[in-house]
Parts: sequence; structure tokens; C-alpha cells
Amino acid sequence: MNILEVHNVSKSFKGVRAVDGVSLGLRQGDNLAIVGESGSGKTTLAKMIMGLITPDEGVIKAGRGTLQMVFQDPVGSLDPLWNVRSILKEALWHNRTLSGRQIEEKMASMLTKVGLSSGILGRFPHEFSGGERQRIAIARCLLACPRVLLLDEAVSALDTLVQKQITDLLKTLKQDLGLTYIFISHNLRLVRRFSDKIAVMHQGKIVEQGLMPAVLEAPQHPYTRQLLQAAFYTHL
Amino acid sequence: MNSAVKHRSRTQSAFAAFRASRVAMLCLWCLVFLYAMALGADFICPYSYQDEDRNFSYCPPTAIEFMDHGHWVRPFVYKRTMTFDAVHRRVYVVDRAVKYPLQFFKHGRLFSVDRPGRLYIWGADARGRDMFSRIWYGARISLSIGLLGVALSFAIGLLVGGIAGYYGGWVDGVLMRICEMFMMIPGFYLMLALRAAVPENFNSVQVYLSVVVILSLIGWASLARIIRGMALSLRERDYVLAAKTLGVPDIVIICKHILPQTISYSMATLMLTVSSYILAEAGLSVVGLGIQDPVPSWGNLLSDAMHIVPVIFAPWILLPGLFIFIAVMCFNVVGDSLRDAFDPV
Repeated sequence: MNILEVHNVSKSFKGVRAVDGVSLGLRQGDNLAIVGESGSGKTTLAKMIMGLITPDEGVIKAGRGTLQMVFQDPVGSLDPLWNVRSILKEALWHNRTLSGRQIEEKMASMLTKVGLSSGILGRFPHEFSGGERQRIAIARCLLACPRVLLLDEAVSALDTLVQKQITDLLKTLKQDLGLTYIFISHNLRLVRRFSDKIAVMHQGKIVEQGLMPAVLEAPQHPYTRQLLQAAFYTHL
Repeated sequence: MNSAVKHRSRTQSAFAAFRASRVAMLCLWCLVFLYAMALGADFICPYSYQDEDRNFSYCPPTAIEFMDHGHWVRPFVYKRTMTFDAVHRRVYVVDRAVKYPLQFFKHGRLFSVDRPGRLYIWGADARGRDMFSRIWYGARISLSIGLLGVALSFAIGLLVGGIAGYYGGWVDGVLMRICEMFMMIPGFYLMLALRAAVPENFNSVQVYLSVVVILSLIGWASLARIIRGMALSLRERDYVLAAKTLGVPDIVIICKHILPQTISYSMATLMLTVSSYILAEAGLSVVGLGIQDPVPSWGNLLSDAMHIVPVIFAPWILLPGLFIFIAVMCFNVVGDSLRDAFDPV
């Protein structure tokens, strides 16, 4: 049983087909990487999956509230006028049964889970580094109890060391909470370490998908080969 | 984590920067003083705004005396009587034989003089009403009308602009065309036209409220257009998208994510708009369409000074103009400093 089903989805902007007949299936516990150059339609696909834009054609099947998204820019994804408490509380807004103390406890324990101190609730986004902000964004997503986490270039804006820390954290969280990931990235080296399935996007289409080792060792599509060459400086 | 460290939001930092500006703080305190005097008019002023004595028409400012034959005594005023000179001008003769001591805390007023004495600190108008009292009672109308009008037009402007910008598309189109209809007509003529639509048998409270509504109907449109432009770019921010994916209702997103971001612009504009509303009310009252006599406002007090003869012989009836100037200037300086504080670049 698939937890998320994307069936033959297309979207055009002013005559340009940003996403062109994409189909995907995601099972519980999957860790799927979507790779491709900028402008290949990765983010448009992500936004359609999240329901932020409606596709021109095709169907996306996902249970209500199963998906949450971590954005690329750790500066832009947190409201600069809100402190961490309000930012995290937003994820719990629909949960009216919780008392104020339960909410505080939930937020504090989630912050510990993502490797932050629970004492930062009163602080504002501009007081944190990029990595810390991304941890806060992850905490916000997880408070909404999603089953699938969509990470749209979630570590691309961070430096290599912090990238490693965040991907390690994501791996741990995946195990602990039984999450499913869609990891959108242009960074093949990172993807190879992180995900176990891969889909390659090119000009709005998925040109190749499969298990990570299979695709990396025997790429079928010329674009995939090009991409691998560029990433690992090898001739295949 | 050091809990003693104060964590400031951008708004808090901006207010700290504002407090550091001396001129702005002076103007702010000046405004606080004006509003306090307006609020306390019943207590501070020696007379009510309609207390008149025709024997003291255009009586010049009365000096309060503290010395009598070289000795400190309880403050008092001398008796004055009006006579006419050879060319029928009013002349007030001071009669040093009769003194009227100042009464403190009598009849619920800070200071007053028992009849038949009259106390005119800032002179009297044509009907012998105390300018000092009328100016502070008038401050109630003039200063509150700006705030109320701004509150109303900002409520409309922010909401309309926020909704238009956030949703875009046809909602934006319809709302912006409505805005343009209001902006198309020159402000003062629109004001006169709207005022003409108000029934003539309104009492002073109804006239007051209708002036508030008229002012806000003029001001909301330009604000809505600017807020809409900001909302159009703000709705693409990731934190707005994040809130959407969390399922937060649109109206909550508009009010809590979009509109607070416009604060630096709207705070400054709010102050500048208050001052323009004070001027608009004065303009309306000067031409006799605003607040009606005997209820004073700075505008209709100033309308007495429209003729040259009284101004020559009783220049103190221009005083309300000074107060309009002070209030408008203070609001402008505070508005400018707020904008600088929020947008240091």
C-alpha cells in the first residue's frame, strides 16, 4: 500500500511545462531522492505534492495531514517577527485539546529531539545559525505529526559540516519516528549517502528511477550519466 | 542558556532605536501632554465650552496677579469693564480697586473665579467664551477624530490590502478597482460630497461620527493599495507556505504573518495619516461643514479667525491654529522617526 501516490501529474507556467507527466509511488519507510538541475521542475513537483499549487493534469493521492515540508532557505522559512515558541506553536494550532503546559512540554521535548536546548523558546530566528534554524524548521514539521517529510533542498544552503550534522539528524529521526522521506536535491554526492531510492528529473520529466546502487552503477539515461560524470568526475 | 539576556524581536529593537531619538521623544511627550489636557479638560479648564458672557466679547488675555502692594498674596485677577472708544472699538478698563481671588478645586474645576469676575488666560472669543477652555475642549474633538478616523481606515485598508494581495487573481482585481474609484476623486471634493450626503438634522455626536466615517472613507484606499503590493510579495515567503502546509486558515495567515510584516510602513503612515486627518477635520470645520458651534473643535474655533477685523483686534483667536500646527508637526516627526527606526537604511 503506497503512502503517497503521484499519478501522471503535469503543470505549465506560461506555456512552459515545468512538470510533465510525472508519476511516483512512495511506501512507508522509503527514502526517495529526487535529483536534477535547477529548473528541472523539482520544486514545482514538491509544491504540488504539498497542495500549494494545483496540477493542470493528473492526480496526487495523500492522506490529510500526512505530509510536511522543510524548505530550502533557513532564513525565509521562519517568520522573523515570531519567537521560537510561536513558530512551533503554529504546528499545533489545530490541536485544541492540549493544555498550555502540554504544549510547552511537547515543544520542549521536540527541541531536544532535534538537538536544540529547550531554553530557546523565547528567542527569535535572527539569533540562530542556518543549521539551528533548519533544526527549528524540522521541529515545527515534526510537531504536526506527519508520516512523510518532504525536504526541498533542505540542506543545500548550509555548509558541508552542518549538512552532515543535519542529514545525520534526519537519519536518526527517520528511524525513531518511522518517517518516510522525499529528499529533493541537486547534490548527488549527498544523495548517495542519504537516500536509498532515486528519481532523476530532467526538463519536467522523470527520466530514470530505481534503487540507489542500481541507478548509480548502471545509469540508463544519457542525462543521468552526464549528471554522475559531473558529480564524481568519472567516465562511465 | 543565559536567561538574563533579553531576546528582542525586530519590533522591540526598532522601538529601542525610536526611544533613542530625542526630538521624536520630545514630540511624543508633547502629544501625550495634548491628549492628557484634552482628557482632563473638565477638570483643568475654568469654564465649560459653552459658558459665555457677552459683556466680555473679545476680552484680551487676563493677567493673574500674585503681588499686591509689594506683598505675595493669594492669586487674583482685577475687575475689567468694557467701554467703547471714539471709533466704537471695545476697550477693556482694568479696575484695580476690585479683585477676584482665584478659587481652587471649586465646582470640580482646578481653578476658577467667582462671578461677576471672569478669567480669560488666553482671551475670549466674540461671545465672551474662554479661549483656554474652548481650546482644550476642542482638543478632544480634533485629536480624537484623527485617531478614530485612522483606526477605521487602517482596519479597512489593511484588511482589504491584505486580502487582495494574499489571494491575488480576480479578488485582487475587484478590490483594487474599488480602491481606484475612491482614489480617482480629489480628496477634499470627495469629502465635501460625502458631507453633503449626511442629513442636516444630525446632532453633534452624529456629525462627529459622520466626519470620522467620511475621513476614513477617503484614506483607506491608498493604504490598501500599498499593503496589497507588500502582501503580493510576502505571500511567496517560505514561512507563509509553511503555515499553509500546516493547514493554518488564510485569514490567520493574513493577520499574523502578512500584516505584521508591513508594520514599519504602516506605523509611520499611521502617524502621518493622523496628522492629515486632523488637518482635514480642521478644513471641514473651517468651511462650516464639520463640527458645529457651540461644540468646539480646533477647526471651527479657527473659522472665527476667517475675517480680518477680529484677527487684528483680537489676535488670540488664532491660537487654535498654533495647536493644530503643534499637533500635526508632532505626529509627523513621530511618524518619520518611527519609519527611520524600523527601516534604518
